[in-house]
Amino acid sequence: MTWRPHPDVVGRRTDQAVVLVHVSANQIFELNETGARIWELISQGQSSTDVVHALTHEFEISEARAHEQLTALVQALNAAGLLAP
Amino acid sequence: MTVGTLDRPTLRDVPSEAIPWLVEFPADETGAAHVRGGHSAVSGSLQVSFEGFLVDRRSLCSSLNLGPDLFASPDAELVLAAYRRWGLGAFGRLRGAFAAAIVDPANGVRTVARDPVGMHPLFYTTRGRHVLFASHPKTLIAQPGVSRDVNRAALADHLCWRWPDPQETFFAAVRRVLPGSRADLTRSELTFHRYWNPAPDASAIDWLSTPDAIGFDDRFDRAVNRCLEGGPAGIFLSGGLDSISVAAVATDRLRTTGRPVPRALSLGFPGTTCDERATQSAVARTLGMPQDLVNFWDAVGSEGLLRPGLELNRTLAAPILNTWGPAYLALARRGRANQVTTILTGSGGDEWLTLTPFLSADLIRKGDFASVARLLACWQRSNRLSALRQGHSVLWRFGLRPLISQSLHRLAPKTWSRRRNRRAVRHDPPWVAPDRTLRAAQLDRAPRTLAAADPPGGFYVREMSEALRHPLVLWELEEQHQFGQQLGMRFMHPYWDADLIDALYRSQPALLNAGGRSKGLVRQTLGRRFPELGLDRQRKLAATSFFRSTAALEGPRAFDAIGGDFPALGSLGVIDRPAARSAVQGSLHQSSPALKSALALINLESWVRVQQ
Repeated sequence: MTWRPHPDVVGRRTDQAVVLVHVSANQIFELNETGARIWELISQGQSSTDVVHALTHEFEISEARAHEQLTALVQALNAAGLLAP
Repeated sequence: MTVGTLDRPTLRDVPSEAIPWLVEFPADETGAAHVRGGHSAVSGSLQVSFEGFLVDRRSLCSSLNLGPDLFASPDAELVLAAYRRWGLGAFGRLRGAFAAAIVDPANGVRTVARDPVGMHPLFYTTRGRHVLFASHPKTLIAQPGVSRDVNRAALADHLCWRWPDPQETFFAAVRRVLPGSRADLTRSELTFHRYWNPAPDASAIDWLSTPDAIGFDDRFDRAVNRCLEGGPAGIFLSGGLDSISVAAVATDRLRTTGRPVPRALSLGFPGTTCDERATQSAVARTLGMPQDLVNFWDAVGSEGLLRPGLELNRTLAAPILNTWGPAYLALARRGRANQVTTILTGSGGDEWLTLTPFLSADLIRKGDFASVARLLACWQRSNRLSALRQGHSVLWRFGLRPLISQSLHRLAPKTWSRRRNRRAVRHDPPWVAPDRTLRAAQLDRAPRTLAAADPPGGFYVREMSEALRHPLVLWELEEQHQFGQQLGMRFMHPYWDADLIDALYRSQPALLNAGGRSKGLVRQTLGRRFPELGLDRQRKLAATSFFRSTAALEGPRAFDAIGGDFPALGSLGVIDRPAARSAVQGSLHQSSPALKSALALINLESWVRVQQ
């Protein structure tokens, strides 16, 4: 499965985070470092399998934990309207 | 490869006000701007980014024929709708305190505008081929690739009381977009256009010659009402005509519409010649306003006035200008604790209700000596200065002297210009700009501070025009905006309303002195409303001597607060450090002009250190 950022969302990397601006909703969000890395992977068009794979390698965690974290964030991003429907 | 530990990913909703507004235009493209913070509206490829707030939205919506659903729209949506209706002419119709960027690729428009009178700050810088805009210089210098260097020439000139360029700031890389202007970007250049100007042609002003034509009461009522749109209101109520007039109109307006009357926020100066507590209390009582009347020394506390002022330099975009700032901030906090979110002030009353004394030069030139005599009498009735000093000012300083200068300019322009340039720098403190390059830059910049010797529309118009864009005026408005941001409040100034200024700027001078006293447009009305206070005969009260004595008292402590030295300015070559130190030590205990220079130096050193 893949996701795309909503077309009205602009992301900008700061030191250790990503600021997401939903320009049509006048809303601003901030992702922490982990969330920022997942957002980058998602934005590159990587599939859920690829994202989980990257997280397990980069952070030396189990696939189950990586999947759990990805699912939690995608739910939050969807709820905030930051991903394309 | 492991790059770190995996914390739980979080997504945090951030209030848009928390993200400093930043708009970045790649100079060699025509497409979208990169925007951070503020509020946005998008329609197809048309993009609006907005920071600040609009006022008079109802009137704007009515002009746009928008339905009630759009009346509740965010300001950015209204700006977008206004642009679609009027194109770039929309800016001239918007009122409020704002900066707005519009990108319209279909029509080749990429522009950023500042509100008509500059209530909202707007600055810009360039980075390579990119142009960046923000509301605070520090947002710009925080960007990678933008120099953080301070502007040495501006610092040195400030110590000589010269501000030659209204667009420059104390950061070398950051410049200001002037009020009522927009910055247009094309592929190759950045150009500025003034979209609001009460008198575009100085020599052919459309003067308003009757009270009805000015329509002061209606315009002032609307100006005050616009300032009341931001929520529960307080008023910095002194005992002067400006703030009392604001309080009277605001109270009437709020009471008529069933809203709570504003809260009077007043500073008392017991035991001094500038104490107005009796008047302040009487006005609040008559208008039925709840009042916080705080004594000055209670407001500033044991720290006093100067040291807390230096502390404020940590966040300000320029050295603190309003030396009374700490006292008024304490008063504002008192209001905040009582749910006040908007504070109205009488600022601008002196600029727009009072005649510039340079009118004297125009009158003498026309041979209208009867009007000169009336002007002098009016001054004497309205101020507390000695008759000799007022006569010297009206007849010589602002009368004959500029006329002689004008004649000499016409006779020998180059010679006279050289002489004026020399005179402009002759009182510069000897400890400023020991660095020859910097001194050369100062001498090169000094002529730009000189007002036109032969102004086409006359001296009166020259001064009125200057009041709209003088660097100190802009600096003060920008500082107030920053104070408001820090407190989470709005500071609003009805006398700086664009439509009110438009009328007052073009009012025949005699109308402003109706009744033979300054501020004639409000004086008689207030005199009738508060008959026991004698406002119809009130003379302007100055707090200058109180400030001087306070500064003389607190100056040594302020000097101690910066360690009794000027390493930051010295290392920049802006001052000769030992000479400056010696000059300050010799002047701190005196209530003299040298004290003013010493305090400016201490203030500047304090601000520059924060930037390094």
